[in-house]
Amino acid sequence: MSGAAAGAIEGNAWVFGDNIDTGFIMPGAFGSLPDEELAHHVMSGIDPEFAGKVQPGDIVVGGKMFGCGSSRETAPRGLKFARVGAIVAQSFARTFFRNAISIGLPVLICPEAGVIEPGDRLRADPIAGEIENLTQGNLLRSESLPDHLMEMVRAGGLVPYLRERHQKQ
Amino acid sequence: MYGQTAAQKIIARSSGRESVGIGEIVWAKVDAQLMHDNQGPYRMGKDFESLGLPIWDKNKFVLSADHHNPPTKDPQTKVLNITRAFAKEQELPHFFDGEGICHILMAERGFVRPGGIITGTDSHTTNAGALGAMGVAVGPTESIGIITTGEVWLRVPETIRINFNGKRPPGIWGKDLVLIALKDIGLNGADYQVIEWGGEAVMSLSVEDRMTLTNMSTEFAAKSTLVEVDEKTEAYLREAGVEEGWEAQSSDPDAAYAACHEYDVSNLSPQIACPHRMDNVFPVEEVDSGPIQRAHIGSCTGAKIADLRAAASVIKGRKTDIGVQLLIAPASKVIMNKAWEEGTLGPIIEAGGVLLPTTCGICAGTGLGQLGPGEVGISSANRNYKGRMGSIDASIYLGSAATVAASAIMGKVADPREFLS
Repeated sequence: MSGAAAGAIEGNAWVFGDNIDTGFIMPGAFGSLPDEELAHHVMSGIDPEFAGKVQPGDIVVGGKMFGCGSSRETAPRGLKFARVGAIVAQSFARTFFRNAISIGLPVLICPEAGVIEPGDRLRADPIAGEIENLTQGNLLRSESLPDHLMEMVRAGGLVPYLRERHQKQ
Repeated sequence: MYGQTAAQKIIARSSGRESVGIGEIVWAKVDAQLMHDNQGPYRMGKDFESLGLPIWDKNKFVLSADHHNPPTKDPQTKVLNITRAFAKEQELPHFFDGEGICHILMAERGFVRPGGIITGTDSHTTNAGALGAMGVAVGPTESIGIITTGEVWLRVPETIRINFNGKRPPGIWGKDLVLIALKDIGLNGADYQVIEWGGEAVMSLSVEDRMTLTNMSTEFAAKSTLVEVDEKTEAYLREAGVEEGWEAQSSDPDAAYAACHEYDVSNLSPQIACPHRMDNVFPVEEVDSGPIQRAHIGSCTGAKIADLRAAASVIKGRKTDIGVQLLIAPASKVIMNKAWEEGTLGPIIEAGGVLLPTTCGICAGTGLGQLGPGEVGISSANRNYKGRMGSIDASIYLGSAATVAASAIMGKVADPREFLS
């Protein structure tokens, strides 16, 4: 598949547990800030050091029901503008999953994500449905996103995707 | 090979496929799309304008100003003005400004048809299931995609079945049924799934009271929900001006359900969700709330004509307790007018009820009558999280509109059956 390599993301793992609420990811008090400023407060409800230390391409790893609670779109926006490369979780709350894709943030459902340790070097390929753990030397499977959704993620989200599609027509 | 669920059939039809498998992600055409003044105004400017595309079908797009309407403070005035400017500029034929709460408007104005897919920027979009349509909540950014393309991507969900069997005793309404299921199955107990509601006790409910079940399906974290279409549904649709152009779907007898839950309602008591979770549910006999200061009949969940009638049957000829203020916010102007004309609203107001605008109000944490620190209230609405209806230090009980009316009379959470003649 031609797009597979282009879709892979490499970075260090930031591991969180089950039921990471959107209120932890983006506390309500920051909800009206512009996108760029959201990044300074992302994850501040659970790890106040995260925003200052996360590196571009790093991968956030969650347990079950990542992004539960309020359907606020500022939660995935904060992660995207902090330049997080992807989110890997055992499962996602559905509105978080949708909102992440709409704004162009890759999300991978990986039932075995619990074996990932903080700081592990990961290489995630959303199209192939694979997460290579370069530190542990193992390969985890994720549910692959269909091409049409990956195109949206690659374009940077739904709005740029629609703009591109419209320009081609 | 199992048969198909109703949800699979609806998604297959809307995506132009013979059949779809559980877990597949497909593009589906939506039959109507809803946006409102809470999730959307900021995207209407930035994202919609930058696309430069027209709205795909203005007859299928509903915009409602209900969450912040009328405004009580500054950011609300701003989002309402953005919403109105957008409606004017786009010459939207279906912009509802304070006409009612969006999910009820969608149904009563004929935008919800059996077998269709309804998307909306609100978690209670699931309400549409009472008419046999799949209501699915979406985000504000993707809503811009939907209004320009008419399409949405959907992951085909599993379905669970919840049956309420037996004869529904007097004083027991849809709210009591949904609360007993929430107690058993729990918040998030149907994550990503579709809930099919059925059984004798569900089909005995009016279509409006079936909406209480489908509306609150989102509290189980369900993606969507459905009730089978019957002659009551058809009568409701005719009143909404929907004569034809729809095809109801039901699950095959051998469809694979992820789970089935059976409840017997023959001896069910009125149910109360106690602070601060919707699944913290007890029968009314076991609830000792102490004095309450507010009784609220309102929201898309608990202020339909069926709810107002239930409340009136309890409170007619009586007075509210001196320590309690009873608030009543009918879910739409159509409902308010009907309730007034048929003599349902008058007795509630004579008993001490204060009539509020036909919008979301305190259920959206906005508007008049919010709870103050230390106050206790009971509401016919859908959520009792801390801070949902005002102060984070207030306590909220949830019950049927009949239970709210009984509680207003008694000054504490009370059993409506004692007031039924």
